[in-house]
Amino acid sequence: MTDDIRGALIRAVPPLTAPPDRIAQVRRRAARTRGRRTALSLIAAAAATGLAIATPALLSAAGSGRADSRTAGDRPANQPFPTGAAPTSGPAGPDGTDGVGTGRCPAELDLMSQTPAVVAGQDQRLPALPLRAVTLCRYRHVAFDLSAGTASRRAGPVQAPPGEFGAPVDTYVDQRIWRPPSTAPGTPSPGASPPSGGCLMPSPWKDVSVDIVHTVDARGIARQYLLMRITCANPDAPQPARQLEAAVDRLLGPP
Amino acid sequence: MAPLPEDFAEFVAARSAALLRAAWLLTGDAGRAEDLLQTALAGVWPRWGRIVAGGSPEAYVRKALFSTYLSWRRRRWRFEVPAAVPEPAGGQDVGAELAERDAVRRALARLSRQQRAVVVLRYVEDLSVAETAQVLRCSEGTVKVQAGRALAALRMDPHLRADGDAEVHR
Repeated sequence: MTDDIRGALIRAVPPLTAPPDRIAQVRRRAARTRGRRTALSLIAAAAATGLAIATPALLSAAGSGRADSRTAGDRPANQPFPTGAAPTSGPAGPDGTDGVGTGRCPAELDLMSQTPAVVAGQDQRLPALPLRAVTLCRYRHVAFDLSAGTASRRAGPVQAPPGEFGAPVDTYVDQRIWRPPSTAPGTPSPGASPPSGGCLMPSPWKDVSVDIVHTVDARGIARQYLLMRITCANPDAPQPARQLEAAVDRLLGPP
Repeated sequence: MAPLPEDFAEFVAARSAALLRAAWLLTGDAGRAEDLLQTALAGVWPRWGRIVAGGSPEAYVRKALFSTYLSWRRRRWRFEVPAAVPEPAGGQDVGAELAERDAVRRALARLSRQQRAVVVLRYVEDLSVAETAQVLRCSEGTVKVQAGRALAALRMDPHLRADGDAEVHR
């Protein structure tokens, strides 16, 4: 039966002639596509710049410049971004783009080049709760340096119940990002006794498991959090990601 | 503009015929088929090195071809009408051959875009249900349902039924 269908379909295809130089045409088409993308990027950058300039002025004029008590000013500009965790902001990418999105975990992923915010750690807001959507992806990266090579998907996409992730994400962001450096977890203040157990980063000689929690918050803003597992000998050592990791593991299992 | 990788040109030369055939079955038109193939190839070219490193460039290009087709149908080809003029062809019984070709093309045109993609992947590209689901980014159950409906539609299609000699009736 299927052989009959296959035969009928193949016979239905007329003799198709290839263009004289298909490669040249593909080259021209790729160049046109790149040109269009560049033009769109420039337009988007110009629009974003305009918004960045206009928004503070408008907020200031409206007297609402401090709508969120925890804004960029709360975090010193020179504070390094926490290792192994990076939120991103901005709308979820449209279908066809590379990167993690709602209900989407690419098979191969360059963990550090999804968006500029991943690298720079420029996100400055907590997610607005309740979350609308949560997508979980688990990747295996061959090197401790996440910027080297690509990661392979091991699990996901899993659509997680947003209600179960609101509090863990909020706690994680609050403790990892917004805490001033002097009281940041893992940074003991002068005179304080160090924790009795050390925390271990993943071995640089083994594959690294990285979980990505992609969220869309109540305002429709998409963010994602990269979780590299850190093992602490002292169970009481501050681990802001513990609650979020536990929520991930409940759905994906242990890494 | 970066030079084309040599193995990309080799791939295009070796696999274009099969990909173009699939594109024709999807679009029902030689010009659109070539357009579809070139668009898919232009999309994968900038990432060719990584695609080859991934180990299955043909599967990736096929996926790009079908994804492009599905997105094009949504954007531009909503009101596609199959061409009524058959292509000239040789052979002993040209009339019968053209009639069957035209019947199959009309029957395919009556399927939904996803059903047509499933038919081409399953019965022309000879992919498994799981592989088809992976290409189309849907569940295996969806593939089975769409394939079943497509086959039923092909069997019931008046063009094929009127012709009587199309193979899908056997």
